[in-house]
Amino acid sequence: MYIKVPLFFMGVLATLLIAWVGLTLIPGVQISEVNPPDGLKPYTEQQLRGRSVYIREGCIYCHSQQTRPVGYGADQKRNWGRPSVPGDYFYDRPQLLGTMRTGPDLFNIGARQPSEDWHLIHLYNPRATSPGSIMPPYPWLFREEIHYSDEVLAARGDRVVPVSQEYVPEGKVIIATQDALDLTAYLIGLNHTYPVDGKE
Amino acid sequence: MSDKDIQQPYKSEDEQTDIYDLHRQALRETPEPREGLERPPWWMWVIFICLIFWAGFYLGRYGGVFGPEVHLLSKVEKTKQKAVVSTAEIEKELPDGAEVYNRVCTACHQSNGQGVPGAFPPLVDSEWLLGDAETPIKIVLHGLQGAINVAGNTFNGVMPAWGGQLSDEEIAAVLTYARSSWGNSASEISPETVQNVRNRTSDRTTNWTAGELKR
Repeated sequence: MYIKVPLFFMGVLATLLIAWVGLTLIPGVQISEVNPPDGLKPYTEQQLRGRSVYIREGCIYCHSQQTRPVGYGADQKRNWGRPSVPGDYFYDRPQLLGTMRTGPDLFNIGARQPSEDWHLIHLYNPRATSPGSIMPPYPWLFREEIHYSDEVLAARGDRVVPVSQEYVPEGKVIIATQDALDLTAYLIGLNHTYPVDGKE
Repeated sequence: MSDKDIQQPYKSEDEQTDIYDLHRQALRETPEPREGLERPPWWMWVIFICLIFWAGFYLGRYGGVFGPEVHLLSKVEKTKQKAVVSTAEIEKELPDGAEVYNRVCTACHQSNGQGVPGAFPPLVDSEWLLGDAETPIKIVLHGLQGAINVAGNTFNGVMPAWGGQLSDEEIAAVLTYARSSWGNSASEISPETVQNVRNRTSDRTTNWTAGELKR
């Protein structure tokens, strides 16, 4: 047994130190100098509320928010937008990058699908807009109310979601709660299609 | 063991070798090799140093600045690197109407063009799509808002504007596809027509309404 114990531990320490410098320190210093791109606006209050709904409902488990360059997957061919850069996440704390893509990437969903109606119907029951979708429905973001008449609805100022009759219980009408409207506002706001020239 | 045994020199079985021979044999042996801290040969150091230099040059040449810029299309176009296919190259290929439809329109109007009852109008037998070419081009360019009657049903929603995202060629291709699919049969639309309408309506910032399009 000729292991030099101090030397061994110095080797372990050097390995950890080099890894920490390369993977944590240097990227951290680089990212600390990043400024938001000109096209990126801070979230509105409603979008921030929607973001908390996004976190609460666990959207991140099936949806990523990071688009990759050509050669790192089919993101560009799927029309998911230009590759994301650190500046795109300037206002995101914590970042919701996500690691799973059971559903599509949502980094530019606001550009691909800017329709509020579509998002509300889709959240109430994904099958109503996308046949064969495996996304779970989120009915607790909505209220089912008895449909007295359109005048009553208009007087109350409720946001009626135009879901197809086959998905709505008989004689009911679907009303979006504030949570659903906030989440939709956040989703429609996810639009990072502004140009970035790499000089940030 | 008696004293007598100890004083006897050792004899091998054939009684030919004595203890001195055995010692001589043992002295001829080289010592057992042991692992230790050996100096590497000089040529190995040379290889190591060459490799380190090569790695440094390689990282300097191909590492970018370890930043995100190398992955950005616009940056790549500027530096004329061929690491990424530029968007301009992708757009040079003539767009396929079906592909554009499945990418952009299917979410609401559905892949069979039937729309979603009560929410999104159908494209099948839609007088707005199949009539004068200018109407659907305007709708796709700037969107549509408010009540509209399509194929006997009234819809009241908002269609987003796609003029900023789709090129003239893509709009022409997708409208031609929609006007000739699912039993529709209307004339095709050329990119020049789309360009013409886009130029004439370039100052528009709001969605169309059904009333404006009817005029």
